[in-house]
Amino acid sequence: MRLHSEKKKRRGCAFLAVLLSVCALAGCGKTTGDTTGEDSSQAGNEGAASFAPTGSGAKGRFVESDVSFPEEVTQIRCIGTRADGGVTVLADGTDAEKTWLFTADNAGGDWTAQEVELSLADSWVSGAAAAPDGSVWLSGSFADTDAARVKKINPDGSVEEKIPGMPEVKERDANNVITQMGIDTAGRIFVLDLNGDVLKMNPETGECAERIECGGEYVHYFGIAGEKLIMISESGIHVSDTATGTALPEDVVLSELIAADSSLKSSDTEGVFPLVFTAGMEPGSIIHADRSGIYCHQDNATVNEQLVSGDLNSIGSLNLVQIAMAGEEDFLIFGKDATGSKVLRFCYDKDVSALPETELTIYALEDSALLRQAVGIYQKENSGVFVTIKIGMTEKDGVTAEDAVAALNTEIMAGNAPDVIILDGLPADSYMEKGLLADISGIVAEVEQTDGLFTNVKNAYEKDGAIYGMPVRFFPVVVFGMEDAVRAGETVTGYADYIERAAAENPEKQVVYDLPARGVLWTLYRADSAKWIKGDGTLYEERLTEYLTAAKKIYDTGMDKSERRFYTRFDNVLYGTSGAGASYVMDGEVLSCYGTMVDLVGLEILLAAAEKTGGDYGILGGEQTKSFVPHLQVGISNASDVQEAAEAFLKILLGKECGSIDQNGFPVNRAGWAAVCEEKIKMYGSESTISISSTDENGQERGYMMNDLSQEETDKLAVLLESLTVPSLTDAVIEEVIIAQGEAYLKDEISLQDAVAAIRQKISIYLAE
Amino acid sequence: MKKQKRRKVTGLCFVLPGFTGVAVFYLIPFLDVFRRSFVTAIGNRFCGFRNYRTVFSNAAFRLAAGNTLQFLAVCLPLLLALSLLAALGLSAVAENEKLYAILKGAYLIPLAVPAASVVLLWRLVFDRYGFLNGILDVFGIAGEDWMNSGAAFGVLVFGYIWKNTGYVVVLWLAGLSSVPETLYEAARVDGAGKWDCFVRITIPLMRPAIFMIVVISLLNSFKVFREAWMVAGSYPQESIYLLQHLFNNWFRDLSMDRIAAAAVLLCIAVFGLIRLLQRCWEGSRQRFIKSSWTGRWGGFE
Repeated sequence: MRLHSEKKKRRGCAFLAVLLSVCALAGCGKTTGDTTGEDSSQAGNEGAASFAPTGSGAKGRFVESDVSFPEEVTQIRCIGTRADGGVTVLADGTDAEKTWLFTADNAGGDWTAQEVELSLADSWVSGAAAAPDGSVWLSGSFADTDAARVKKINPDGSVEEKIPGMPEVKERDANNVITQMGIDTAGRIFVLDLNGDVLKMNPETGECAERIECGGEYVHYFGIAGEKLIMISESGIHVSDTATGTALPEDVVLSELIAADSSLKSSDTEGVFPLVFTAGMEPGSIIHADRSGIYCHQDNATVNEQLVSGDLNSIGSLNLVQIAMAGEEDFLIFGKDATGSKVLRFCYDKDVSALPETELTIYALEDSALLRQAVGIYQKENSGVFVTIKIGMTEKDGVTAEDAVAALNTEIMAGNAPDVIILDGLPADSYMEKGLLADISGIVAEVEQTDGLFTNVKNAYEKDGAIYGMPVRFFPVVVFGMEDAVRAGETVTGYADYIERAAAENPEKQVVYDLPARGVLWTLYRADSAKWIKGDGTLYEERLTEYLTAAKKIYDTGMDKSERRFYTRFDNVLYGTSGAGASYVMDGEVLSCYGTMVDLVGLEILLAAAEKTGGDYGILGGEQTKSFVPHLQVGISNASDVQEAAEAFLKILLGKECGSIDQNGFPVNRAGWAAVCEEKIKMYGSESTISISSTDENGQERGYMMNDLSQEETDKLAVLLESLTVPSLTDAVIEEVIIAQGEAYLKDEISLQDAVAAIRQKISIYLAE
Repeated sequence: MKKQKRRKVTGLCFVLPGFTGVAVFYLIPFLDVFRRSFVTAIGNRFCGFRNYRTVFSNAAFRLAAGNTLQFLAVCLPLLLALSLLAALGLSAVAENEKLYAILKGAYLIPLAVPAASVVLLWRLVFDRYGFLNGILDVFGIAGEDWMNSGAAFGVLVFGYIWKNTGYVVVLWLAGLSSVPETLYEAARVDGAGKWDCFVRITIPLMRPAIFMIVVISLLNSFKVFREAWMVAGSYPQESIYLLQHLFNNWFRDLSMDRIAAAAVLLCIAVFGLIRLLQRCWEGSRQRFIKSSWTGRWGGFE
């Protein structure tokens, strides 16, 4: 009897344990529920009205479209709403040296163009604003005079000139200039000056005498919504009445917005703003936009209503300049990206679903302007897809790469793998080995057939006919100098010997563009690392030793070990160090330089230096290693539920339009490459030469002449790019180990033998794992 | 009969919440780990013992397992011996309450220091250009790159002992206080010396406590990874490359299949070790009971 009871008890316990196991294991399965994309990097504005979940039946959404202008138009200067509800756009064409005032009743496409009696070809426009009467006000320096002027462009195309009466610049010996203009609905003109003061301008005389009080603070930028002047300073938002200039009660919504995101306080780029404002249709309402979308709130309200989500369109990839109402419900956004300036129209469509049926998730360890632009292009073509970009490491959260990868892996194991994965900085080989990534060779072949690809890059990623990840961009490490320097640069060791020899022959002179220890190591690593790993997965120790020795030789020739002489920052791997170095060669300060060439601007500077010094450029390690640096390596998750959308996005990334953007490396897309080159070949119009002046890392002004690129020059670069057959090592662990030990060696903290031994030991464990 | 049944039900009600917690947070996840050790990392395809074979043939696993074993073999006896000595010393001064409290507190301080501060201290002390080498330099002794040479193992052992001695001392003191004073008095009357008392009374009566202390110290020793990782990162000097380093790095590479297999192996090893200790303890207990009756003092009750 007792035995029976014991058995029963055991069975009961076993049943309970199994039940619990089943319940919990059921929870470990893949989640197929809807997600709202709340963790999107673009999401912001916590007070924003929430969206319905993906696939819900709710209808109605603002749909984005490009506002198209005649082909001659190359630059938009200003947009604004007229008092009668129509829209004004000022634009110009660099080639034609013409300026037009476009007007429309509702921005729906029926534009009337009025040619303006003013060319902006050689002008610097510091501020522009459209008035309710249809006129446009510009400030800056214009071709006809060097001094700062204000121009009023009337609706009939005639131009009036005003001399702005500006107060003196405080604590600086400089002429005061207008840095931003804005006009309220009553036609009152406000300007921001170098003192950070907002001033009211007399439209008749151009006098800017009346200062709008902002608590004595420096105003970073301002916006106007109706008759409200919204000034953004370090402490937050200050709102004043444009009619009286008196301060208005605190706008809680805007204050909270700024308090939540300090990056909205100021902009690093001239002429673009983190927040833009306009008046809504309802009296007192304020419409504002930032990269996360367009929002509206009423006077004294505490709730911010999101009208347009940045996740669903290309606002997220734009640097905003202005916003304007077009008709009663639509909006125009004027912004800039790497492709130039553009105006987007957001028109409410009550028949489309509030949120698209399909959600595409893109993961990248670090944010990328190019990626966001690709998303913008994709969203314009696929308004039915909700794109969420998840960024592993942002400036705000301080997450390390290791933590971000761990978090991503947790998501993958939980069945929430992103659909598209940007593999830069991630264990790409391991993901491929585990079968996480899908074969994208079909899409690559399709793009190759349509536009052509740099086959050397494609081939480097092809394994047994399959491609699991492929870079969208790539760039070389180049060496610049006289012929002997370039010839020596065919191998990294040869270049180091050359530098050492030259330093011995020129003891008083800085021989090579001086990089900090990590900069030297990083650059040479990119040029040399491609052939360090043996077929059996172990390290070629002698090649590593040669690399460290070469780095040491180059580093030791630096005149100033405080690392402050030339190059003070090495935070962005996409910074084209070869171009920066070439400007020093041009000025005769150094004999040679080496570094990455990430765009055609870099080539232009090298060619300008070549013209001045008689030098040339070549690939560093071009004889021995022939490696390229891959950037924005992309793969598609095998487990993606939206393979088609992911493939379509991949096509955009690899495609011509995205490839036509000249930044973050050269496109693997040949048609994109041709478009970038074509753009550069006719860049400077009839002048074909442009004088460039820039400030270097030490604040020193540098000037040089840059010429239009010729077809031969771009062809020569193309041949060099085609010769690169292997990607440099992109394994983050190997790189960090080598550079950390290498830095200690370069700084004489450890010997070469100790550095190599430490690297060998750590990497052998890593490779054994 | 009814009363007995009700008591059992009541008992079960008390046990169930705790058991549920253990099941949800430990047992069931472990079952999932066990399942994953037989499937591929992505796709959950059954792969038999492949993951186990991969783990056994992995050089990094062998290195990490060897280092972990070596660490346990060195640290556990050292920690137990040092802390027992300290506990006996403390017991000796127990009558001086003030001194006793001060010394006990001093032993516990390392336990209260946050790991991040400990790591910072280690870096300052054991760096190539740190305090320790500075002091050695004063005496004309050549320093060492403590964290990047074989000495790193010694540093890790030292850190573990320094941090955990206080905790184990408290456990020993609790064990020592459970031994009735009357037994010592009786033994002393029978002519037993201090060593006899320690060997014949203290150790035998503390066997249950010893078992618990050993098990707790064994499990605690795995926590040393935190300090090791914070000081030397994912790829430390090879002598302090522990199993947790490997697990951490495998997780970064999404090698969940290998982690699962290695975790099952580790669990079996730890469980086996604990069972072995238990057996040893039970065996020695039997022997002790037997010998106590025929002992020098004629046994005790």
